Amino acid sequence: MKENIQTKEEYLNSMHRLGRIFAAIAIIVMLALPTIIAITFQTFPDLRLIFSASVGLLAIFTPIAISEVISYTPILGSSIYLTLITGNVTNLKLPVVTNAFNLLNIEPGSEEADVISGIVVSASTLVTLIIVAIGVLAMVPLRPILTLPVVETATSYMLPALFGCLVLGVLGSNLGGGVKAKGRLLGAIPAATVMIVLTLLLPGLVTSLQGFLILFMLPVSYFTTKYLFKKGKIKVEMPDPQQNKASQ
Amino acid sequence: MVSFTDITESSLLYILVAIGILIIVSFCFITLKKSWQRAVELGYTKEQLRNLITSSVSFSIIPSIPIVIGFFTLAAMFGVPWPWWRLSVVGSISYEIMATDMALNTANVDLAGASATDLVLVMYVMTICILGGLVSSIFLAKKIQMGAMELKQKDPRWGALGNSTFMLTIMTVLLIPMLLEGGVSLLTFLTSLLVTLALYVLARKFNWSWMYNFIVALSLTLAMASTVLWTALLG
Repeated sequence: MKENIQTKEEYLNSMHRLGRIFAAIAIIVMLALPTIIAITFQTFPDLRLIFSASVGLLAIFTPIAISEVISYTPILGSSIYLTLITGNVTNLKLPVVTNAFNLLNIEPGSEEADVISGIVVSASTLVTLIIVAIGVLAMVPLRPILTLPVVETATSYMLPALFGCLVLGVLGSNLGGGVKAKGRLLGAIPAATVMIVLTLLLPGLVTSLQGFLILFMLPVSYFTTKYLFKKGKIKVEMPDPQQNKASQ
Repeated sequence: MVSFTDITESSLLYILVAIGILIIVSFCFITLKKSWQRAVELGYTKEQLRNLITSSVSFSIIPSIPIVIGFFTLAAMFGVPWPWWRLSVVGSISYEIMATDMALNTANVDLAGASATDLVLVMYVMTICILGGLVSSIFLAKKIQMGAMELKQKDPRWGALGNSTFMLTIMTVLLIPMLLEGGVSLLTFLTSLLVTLALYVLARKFNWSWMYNFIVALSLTLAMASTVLWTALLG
């Protein structure tokens, strides 16, 4: 095996440094666009108006956004920055990363997971940017096709279609990297029960507060799983190092 | 006096959007290059990585189409460049429309009567209200990831299991409302699940190793196509 040029820490530190720099650049660019327009065309709105118009949405979206950082970073690793710059997390980035982990049998939270996430999130982002660019350039011929009722119906059910493809990989006992966990779904029972009750009683609330619900359910699932693991109800089998060496 | 449409179709806005998108593209290429190099150092073959890219590309095409549809909606309101930018960065069509509504209501105007200044107000609101995640990631993301990895090092069994609870929780929260909705949503989910299973079985039985890269993209396409049937049956 080729000698590693960087240590794991050096690699992760460099990716987080890169991510933070580009996150800062992206924030500056996003704010610069309306500012440059305002200065050039002398159309600067009253700051108090910007504040009053923003405060309501900020109060809703900021806690959701922070909860997404907490929930998604352990899965996406250092590609969280590119993910948060370009969005489409639950409908694209998370599924494409999950698919990659399943394909290469990768354990989430490992250095391999971080590296593979970086590759697939970048590739996926470029695809989306290209497709949107095609949509922009070919707006005239494409619009009548993409706004057909059948296409709009199909795309409105994209999330259940996506999750149907991925559910087996996510809910199976294989955690990736040869690690198997038998009985791990037991840890999700309390969270699942709460979600069932909430969905039946307050379906509208469940849809609009998804980010919060993920954040609240995380400790529920985490500590339930930990309790059951310590009690021996969930068993984890690590891969055989000899088998791993043979497969390299 | 500058009007709403003077800004929405200005060359300056096109140039600014093009620069912004190029910056994102450069971030993608730099990340891809560094991650690819590291993957090779970790022992992944170029063939494995090429298959991974193929699978990710084919997977990403269909979910990108709703974004284009969203662009058409926003373009009818704001011209081409600004919606192109907004749908290339964080946000969604529903969020952008919510932000537009909030901004215009605060300014006490409607879209038809909005001035150039009202447009800039909308631009600021769309931009500012969704930045919370990106800002907090600068301070939190590294700590969170390193914390999760440290946990794994102390106890590899619990570390692997503990890390898996994140995706499991996300799936639980997102999946249960989808399934309980019943109807076309549930049938689409089940169709997707069954098609995925069938394709895996076929790939294994006939030893079609190439198929694994396309199973998810194919299942997604067929499941979404099936919604037409389910919608017709259930009304």
